[in-house]
Amino acid sequence: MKASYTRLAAVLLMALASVALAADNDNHQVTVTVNDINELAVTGGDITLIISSATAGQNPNQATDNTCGLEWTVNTTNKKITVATNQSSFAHTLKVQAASVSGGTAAAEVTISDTAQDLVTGVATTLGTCTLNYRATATAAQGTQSVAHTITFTITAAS
Amino acid sequence: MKRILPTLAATAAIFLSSLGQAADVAILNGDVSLTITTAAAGQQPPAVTDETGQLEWTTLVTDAVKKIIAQTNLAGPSYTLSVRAVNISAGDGTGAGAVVLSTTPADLVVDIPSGIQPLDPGTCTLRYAASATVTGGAGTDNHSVTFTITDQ
Repeated sequence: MKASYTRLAAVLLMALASVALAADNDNHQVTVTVNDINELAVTGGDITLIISSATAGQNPNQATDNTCGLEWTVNTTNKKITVATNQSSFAHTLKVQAASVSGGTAAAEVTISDTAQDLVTGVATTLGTCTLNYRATATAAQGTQSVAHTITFTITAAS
Repeated sequence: MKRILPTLAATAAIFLSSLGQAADVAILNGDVSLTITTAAAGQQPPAVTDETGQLEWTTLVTDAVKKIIAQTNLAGPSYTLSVRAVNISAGDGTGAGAVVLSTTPADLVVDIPSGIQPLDPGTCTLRYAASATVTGGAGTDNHSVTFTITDQ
């Protein structure tokens, strides 16, 4: 009789074990994280503006260039794009304005200095592009010079 | 009493065994993390992938043709998460292509035959892909992804 009970217990145990091992589903955790992304690039490469002519009796004619642009990818909010040059002192005037802007709002034409100034505002969770309209001017009194600017565009928090 | 005990044991064994007569699916290698960290300027962030997870499954000789379905518990995720079964062991089923995970189950592996034994289970690699657009912003989606083997 004792042996019978033992056999019964063993059979029940084996059957229960088979139940415990069987599972028709399983799950795991999958985490998807997206970090802050604020990427900006200048398209079109380097440019040269040469002021080379004038009408007699007038200051020299301005030089312009619109061959370059910006592209940006921003998945954060409340951002703007600023512009600055690495040159702290130069005689001529160099200006830039963002044109044909998508993914933001063009600021007014900027007279470039070594202090960052707004070029595009209202940048938030967007892809964007613009054309860079450069304009260089000089007066006769400023004489001749050649200055190589490194122009830096930055995505930064809007104040 | 001597005749009752064997009968009782046999009945219980059959009953409990019938409860255990379910195909089995298990995930190997634990949890998965996918992180999107960058993008080319002017472009949406590229998708990221992970192939560290695997599935194993078995079926009984008496089973009907089975399939494995996948779903997430997360309703309204900010980002797109898809999974595809690749490198499926020969003769153990057919991949159903990439599944964009939602709270509605979708086929991952189909045409799973009967008689896939525990000593030689069906296997596949889980190829997860996560993608995001800038409008989704930065953040985290936490999914609990469930795989179920069921009659096809």
